[in-house]
Order: sequence, then C-alpha cells, then structure tokens
Amino acid sequence: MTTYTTIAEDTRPLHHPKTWVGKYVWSQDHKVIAIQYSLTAVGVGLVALVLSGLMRMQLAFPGMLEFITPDAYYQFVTMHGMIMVIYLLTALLLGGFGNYMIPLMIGARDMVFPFVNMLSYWVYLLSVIVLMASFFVPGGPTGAGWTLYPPQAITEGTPGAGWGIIMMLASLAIFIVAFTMGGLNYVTTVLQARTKGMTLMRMPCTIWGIFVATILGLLAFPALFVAAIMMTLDNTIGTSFFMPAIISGGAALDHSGGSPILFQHLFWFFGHPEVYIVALPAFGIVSDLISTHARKNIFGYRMMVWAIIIIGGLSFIVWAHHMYVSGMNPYFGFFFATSTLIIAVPTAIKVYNWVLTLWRGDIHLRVPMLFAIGFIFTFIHGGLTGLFLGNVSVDVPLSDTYFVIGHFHMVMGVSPIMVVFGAIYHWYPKITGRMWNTMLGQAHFWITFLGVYAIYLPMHYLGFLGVPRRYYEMGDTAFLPESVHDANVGITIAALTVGAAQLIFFYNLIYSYFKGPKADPNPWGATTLEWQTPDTPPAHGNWGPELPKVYRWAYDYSVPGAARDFIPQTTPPGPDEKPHEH
Amino acid sequence: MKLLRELTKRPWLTKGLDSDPGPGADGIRGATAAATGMWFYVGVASVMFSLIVAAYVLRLGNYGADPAAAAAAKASLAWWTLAAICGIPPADDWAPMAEPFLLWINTGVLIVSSIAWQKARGDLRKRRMDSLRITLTAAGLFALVFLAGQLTVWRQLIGSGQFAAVGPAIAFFYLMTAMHGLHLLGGLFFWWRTTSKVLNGAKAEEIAAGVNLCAVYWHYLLLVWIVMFGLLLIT
Repeated sequence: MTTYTTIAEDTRPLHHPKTWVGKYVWSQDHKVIAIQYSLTAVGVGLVALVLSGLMRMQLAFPGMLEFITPDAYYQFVTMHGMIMVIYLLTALLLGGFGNYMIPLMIGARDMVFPFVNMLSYWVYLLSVIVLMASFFVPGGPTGAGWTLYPPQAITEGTPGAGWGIIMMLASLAIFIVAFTMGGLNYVTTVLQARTKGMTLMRMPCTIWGIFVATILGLLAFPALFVAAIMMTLDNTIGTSFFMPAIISGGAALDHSGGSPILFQHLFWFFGHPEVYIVALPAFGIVSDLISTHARKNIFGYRMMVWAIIIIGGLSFIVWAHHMYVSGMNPYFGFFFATSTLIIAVPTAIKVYNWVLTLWRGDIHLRVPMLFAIGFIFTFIHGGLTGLFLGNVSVDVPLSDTYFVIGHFHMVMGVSPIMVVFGAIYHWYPKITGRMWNTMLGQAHFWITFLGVYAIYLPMHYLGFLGVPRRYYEMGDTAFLPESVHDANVGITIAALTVGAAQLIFFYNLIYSYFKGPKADPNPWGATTLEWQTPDTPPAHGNWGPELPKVYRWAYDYSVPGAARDFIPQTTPPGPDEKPHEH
Repeated sequence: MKLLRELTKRPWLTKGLDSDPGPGADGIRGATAAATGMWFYVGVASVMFSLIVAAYVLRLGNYGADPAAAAAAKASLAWWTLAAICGIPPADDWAPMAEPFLLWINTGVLIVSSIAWQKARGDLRKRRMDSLRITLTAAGLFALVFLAGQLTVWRQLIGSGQFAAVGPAIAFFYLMTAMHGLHLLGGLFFWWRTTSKVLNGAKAEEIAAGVNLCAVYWHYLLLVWIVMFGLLLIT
C-alpha cells in the first residue's frame, strides 16, 4: 500500500459522482457542502429577520398587530436570538465560509474527511428542521429568551414550557453534533492538508480566523451540550440539576436543591466564546478584504495572528461578565472585569492594524471594501460600548436595558454581517463565475450601513433612560418620557427599511447568477490561492492534475519593482528576490 | 516549541519553497489526519466530562439557604476544587449514592478490555495476525459486556426505586454513565470497522492506525470512567 506523508501530496483522482443527486444533494465536495450550509443558514436567518420585524412592530405600535400576544412576542424574541447567533452566524461563517475557503486557500483538494463533512451538513439540516418544527407543536416554540435560563424556561407560564423547550434543547444538541463533525474536519484539514510551501505563517488571516474559531467552537459547545441534556432531564424525568425548591401556581414542584446559577455558568462558558466563534472568522476575512482592496500588505501580520490566538484563549476566562447581576462574589466580578478589559488590548491591536493597512493604501472603494470599512465603524462602536458593560459598576444599572441590546447587536450582529456581505461580494465572482451589479451593491451597502446606525444608536439612549429589554409593552411607565415612544417608532421604521433593503441584495445575487457578466478569474488582483484555480468556479478537486506550490506569504501587494501590484502566492521568487533566511 | 518557532517567523522575508520545513517539521504535520482528528475529539470529550465533574462538585456544595455552612465552604478557594476529595460536609439535601457492587465488576471488565487493546497493539507490532484476531475480538466483546453490565446496574437501581429524581448524586450517576456509555458505543463503531477488516484478512499496515487509535481512545475512556466512579465513591 502506498503511504502519503501528507494529504496534500495525495494526487489520486477523487471519486467523481455521476448523477445530479450525487453531485448536488449527497455531495462530498466541500464547495457544494458550503453552499448547502450557506443557503440553509440564510433561509433560516430570513425567518429570524421577519421575527425581528414583527417584534419592532409591537414595540412601535403596541397592539396594532393582534396576533402578537405577549406569549407570541416572547417566542419571537427567543427564536430570533437563537437562530441568528447559532443557526445563521455560526453555521454560515464556519459551515459556509469555512467549508468553501479552507481547502481552496490552503491548496487542498477537499476536506480530509469528506464523508463526515457531508454528514455534518445533513445533521445540521436536521437540527434546523427540529427547530422550525417547534413552531407547530402544541404551545408553540419556547419563549424563555435565547439564554433559556431555568427555572422559568421549564416552568408553567413560560410560553412553550411543554413541547417548545424540549424541541429547542433537542435541536441544540443535534446542532452541536453536526458542528463537532464539521469542526474536527476544519482543524484537521488546516493542520494536515496544506500544500507544499503553505507554512502556518503563510496562511491568509481568513484561515487563521476560521481555524481558531473552530477550536473555540469545539471546546465551548460541549458546555451547551451538557447544559441542554441536564435541562432536558430536569424537564422530563424530574431530576434537580438546575431546579431549586420552587412554588409555581400555588403548588410546590417536585424539585429541590438544584442551582439555576450552575446553568448560567455552563451557558456562558459556551456563550462567551460563541461571540468569538462568530467574530474571529469575521476578523480574518475582513483583514484579507482590506489588504486586497487597499493594495497593501496587512499591517503587522504576525501581530494579527497572535491577536487571534490570544483573543481565542482569553475568551474562555471572561464568561461571568454576563452574570454580574446574578449575585456572585464581588471578587469574582473583579476578576472577570479585569480579564474582560484585557481582551480589549489584542482587539485594539487588530483595529489599529486594519486602519494602518488603509493608511496611504491604494484604496479601491469597491462594494466588498465598503462593507469592510463599514465593519471597522460598527465594530469600534460595539467594542467601545463593551468597555462600559465590562465594568461591574457600570454594568449593574445598564444590565437588561436597551443599552445591552444596542451593544451586542452592533458588535456581534451587525459587524459580522457586514463582513459576511463583504465576503459574499468579494468571492461571488469566484463561486459563481459571474459579476454582480455594482450600483445595486452600493445601494445595498449605504441603506444597510446608515440604517443599522438609525436602529441601534438610539437604543443606547433608551438604555440610559432605563428602558428594560424583553418587555412586551411599556404602557404608561412614569419614569419614561414620551420621546421614548417616538424613538421606538423611528427605530422600527429604520428596521423595516433595512430589512426591505436586503431584497436588493438577494435580487442582485439571483439576477447576476443568471444574467450577470462573466467574471474574470481574479477580478480583484488577489494573491491568495483560491483566485489561482484553473477553473472558475473551481471544479471538483479544485486544482486539476497538480496541486499548487506556495512560494510566498499571502500579502505581496504593491511590492516595489514588481511588474504588477500583486504577486500571487504561486509565483516563484524572481532573480532579485533572494531566499532570505533570518 | 517547534510550534512557537513557527509562529514567530517573518513570512514576508522568506520566499521560495525552502522555508517550508516539510511534513512533521512544524511538529504537527507528521501525524496522520485520523490521529489529529481523534486527539481533537478527545479534547472535546474532555471538556464535556470535566464540565460534568465541575457541575457535580458545585452541586455538592450548593448550600442553599444555610448561610453559616455556605460561608464556611466559600471561605477557602481551594474548597471549590478540592471539596470532593477533602470530604468537606456536603449540602444538606445531599444523599450519597450506595454504589452497587456490580460497578466494581464492570470496572474490572473495562480494564480487561483496555488490556486486550494494549495486547492487540503488541500483536500488531510483532505481526502476529492470528493472535491479533483474538485480542481484537476480545477487546470489543469485553467492552460490550461492560455496557451490558452498566445497563444491568441501571435496571437494578430503577427496580429498587432509585430513579433520577431521588437525589442529586444518583441523577449525576445516570448522566455520567449515559455519556460515558455513548462514547464507548462510538468507539465500538470504529472497533467493528477495524476488526471486520482484520477478520477478512487485511494486512497489518492497513489496520495499524485503526488499532492504535482505538487503543488510545479505550484507555482514555477507562481513565474517564475511573475519575467518574472515583468521584461517586468518595462523595
């Protein structure tokens, strides 16, 4: 038997499916799986987008839509949050972009375990189906809030306390199984299947972000898995892991001694790294977008890589900053506030490096670049309000107000989505072989970018005024001025506008897929491997008979003396470029 | 260390293929994909089992409304990690579990299964394929006997009214044994894939990776079980 030292050197032809079903449904090609992941994630994300529109309608015009009862409102809140964080962002950035980009950017033919990769998608789809099915079970989906805190999540009176919560917990457990299968693939592929010359420090930032985020996911999701199983047991067979002695509806329940705080610890031990599971791929991708479209090498590449690793590590020791108001020991609060603020250091390094990459660059304001620069704005904004909330004494009065809503939507809702849009515009020509319409792309950017500020900026003021989150309606609350209501109307109008503007995006993508002009194989003049494939879109196996060889790092832009303003990673060193060992 | 050296390189200075240290030189690429995948999975499972242990210890010290007991316990940070081992009095509602004797026998069976895997590795190294067939089959069968034994313990406990709602220790017992058993079942899937190849006359090279990785995974699950069982015994 022949043995191969690396998968990258294994040039045996891949199994080529013959039928349409084999090619597009039960496909083991990472690119098809990536598109399956992305379409499913975006589809379920649209459901969550509609839910947020309905919530905004209720907040601006209470009682106008009669089907939005208090129960329904809580169900919308819960499903919106959970879908957006897990089933859209995590699945799209890792299952979608991770799957598409990893083998292409490191010069591999596919993931190292293609069958497991396929399985990962189908199990993910199952988790989405279970989640969506909870809309149709008796009592509807759970309305416990996306954090699913017990005891209220499983006690009478919370919407969906019967069926809904069980469907949610089951769906999460299934999702985690799917993610683990995909995640093991991503890390192993990055470590094992890099092509000749692709050393760790020649990997583009995109791969670093996805790689570290996947490790975070693999180590953080078990906490949610354990919590989901334990809560299911509390709910079904009467254990008391999380349920204290409690009187509900005048009668004592059969629980005693459990700790709701224990659930919060488990949930946030997952929940905080989850922020970075979403943010790190976005950090990586945006670094590559900025460098490519500013025709400049990324400023401080090593620092960028180290920052990704350090942020990843620190994200595991800050989780309790979500629990300052849970009555924990003040020393714990001090510790977690300190670790939280330390994360600001590597994060600020990244922000400075993005800005310094732009500094005196040859900036091309194409649509992907607009979104990348938009991301810098929204991320700085959301990051700075994070400093407010990281301090215990500032967090306590702001906790559970609209300030928190404004903060986390800016930092982990809008910012990653800006990058997702930028990345889609950036790689669309490679993925489809067609070019999108520039004017529609610009319109989409400006409405979205200005719109999200119109939505989330006023929320910070509402938070300062003390408007609590998760309230169905405020009624005549004495301490709130009339202007709160006006702000709510304004936010809703902006939200509906931004929501509708996404139709431009979808129209652009779908129309261009059929009618768009043929795209150049490397329209942006990018250096990284995915732009150097023999076919556009890349064929099954990616590279034709021979794997690419990598001679240089991913950021040789505007090299003095070079013929063009970029040198692809596959270009051997010229005569005056001496191999230079330090 | 190799990894650190790799991460501090200046990639903008080195051009060409020479700077690629090649497979194995950055300390990672020498391993096979299957081994890398398995070790990452062991990491995932370890986080999960550690969190179950952490939850167990925290629940053990959940004093609820008794401020004196809570203050005494929380006075020492070491308590949080060593509570179980040091034998500090548990929460008022804590009912220690009476471990059935069968658990000891099951533990023995799992140890024998692990020993069989180790012997299988030795057989493989010495290319004794006949002996390998027997040791591999035995390793899997002992694991199956272990699982049957665990199920029997469940049945005995449920039969005597010791179901999950009785107390926290017993609830954790069901959680731990279920999670551990599921991981062993997953291992048995790979055991079956390897063993069926051996029984069909596969060559030593073709199954070497499978046998070695399964053996390591078995030892890992044995360690997990000993930690879990030990925790139940001392509390």
